[in-house]
Amino acid sequence: MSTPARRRLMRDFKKLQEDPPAGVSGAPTEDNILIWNAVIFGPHDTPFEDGTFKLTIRFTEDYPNKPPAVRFVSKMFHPNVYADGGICLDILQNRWSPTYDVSAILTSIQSLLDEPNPNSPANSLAAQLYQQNKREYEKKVSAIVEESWMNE
Amino acid sequence: MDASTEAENLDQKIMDQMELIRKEIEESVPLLSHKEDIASLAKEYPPDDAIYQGKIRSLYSSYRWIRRTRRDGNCFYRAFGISLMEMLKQNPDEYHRVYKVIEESKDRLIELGYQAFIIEDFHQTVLTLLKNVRKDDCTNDELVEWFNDRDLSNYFVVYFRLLTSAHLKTNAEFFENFIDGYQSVKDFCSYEVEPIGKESDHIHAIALTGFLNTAIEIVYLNHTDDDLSKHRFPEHSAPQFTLLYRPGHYDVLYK
Repeated sequence: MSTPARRRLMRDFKKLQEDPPAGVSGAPTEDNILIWNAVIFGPHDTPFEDGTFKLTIRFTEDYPNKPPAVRFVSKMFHPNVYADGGICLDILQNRWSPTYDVSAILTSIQSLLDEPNPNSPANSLAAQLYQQNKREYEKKVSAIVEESWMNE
Repeated sequence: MDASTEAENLDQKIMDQMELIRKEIEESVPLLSHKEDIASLAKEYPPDDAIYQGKIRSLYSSYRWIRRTRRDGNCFYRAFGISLMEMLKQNPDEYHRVYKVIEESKDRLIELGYQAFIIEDFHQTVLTLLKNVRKDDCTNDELVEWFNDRDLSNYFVVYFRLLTSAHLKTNAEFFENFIDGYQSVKDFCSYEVEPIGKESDHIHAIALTGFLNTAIEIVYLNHTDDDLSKHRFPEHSAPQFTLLYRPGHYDVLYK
């Protein structure tokens, strides 16, 4: 059945294929266009470099009036990512606008990796290390980068 | 123990809580009400609240009806939207002028950097509404019904938020002076105009009326002034319709 949400998601997918942003990819699952799998590659020159982080994006029929629920499936160590993979990012919550598409969502999360917002920590240890002990922070990040290569 | 495992997904909890509140409001108040007697306003305030009761009485002399909107942060756009459509239905010249502005607005938005495939659905929804307005058998009740259809109504709100943004961005040099706390007009739009449910202020009214070249009046009902204050957008214009502002909320007033 074609609904506004599904039509829009088809267009988001087309755009992502025709004009793929660097370092992110995503596609709907085979049997449900409301559920997507995505990958974000850790940006160069950041502790996340070389990581291949998997995410799921769950849309509802209210998309694009409501944001999707985005979650890291790969283990993440980041001030704004919860233990369950949930992401604290304003455009996915109170700053959502229907002008964001999947491409914009993924590139925003990619930028968040190296530009955390320690003022709204979702992982207090990561926030603390990020501010007070960069070396230890980067060590922890390296560990999850390596972990992201498993289960390929 | 890893501290991150202790962290609860607080955001999700807050979002769930807000969703619950939103649902409660949704079930109790329509997006747009039918016209109600203006006297119904008085009942909302304590009888001994001299300032409000006095101001409401002075409203009676100019306005007979009020149309209420749901307090969901989009009230300005819905109040503006229904008033605009009701006015256009009565005024063929304005109808043709505004239709053209809306029709051409998509290209303006694309010039400003919005992606065509994203704005298309919102643009189409508003054009379809405008086409319905021109039909002879289109009644005000149908328009109200249209604005109470959540999906259509929200698409309308999204597009009018974009038009507001467009006017601010096109006239950024001017509006830069009025965006306290933001680095740029672009930032202001992305935080205060485009997100669904963000409340509107003076600057939004100036921008939207500026884009459409319409004239409105907003009557302010609050505790601060002694008399009802009225503002016209743009100043000194002859208003085509009137909105009622109470702190944080807009409704529609009719004579």
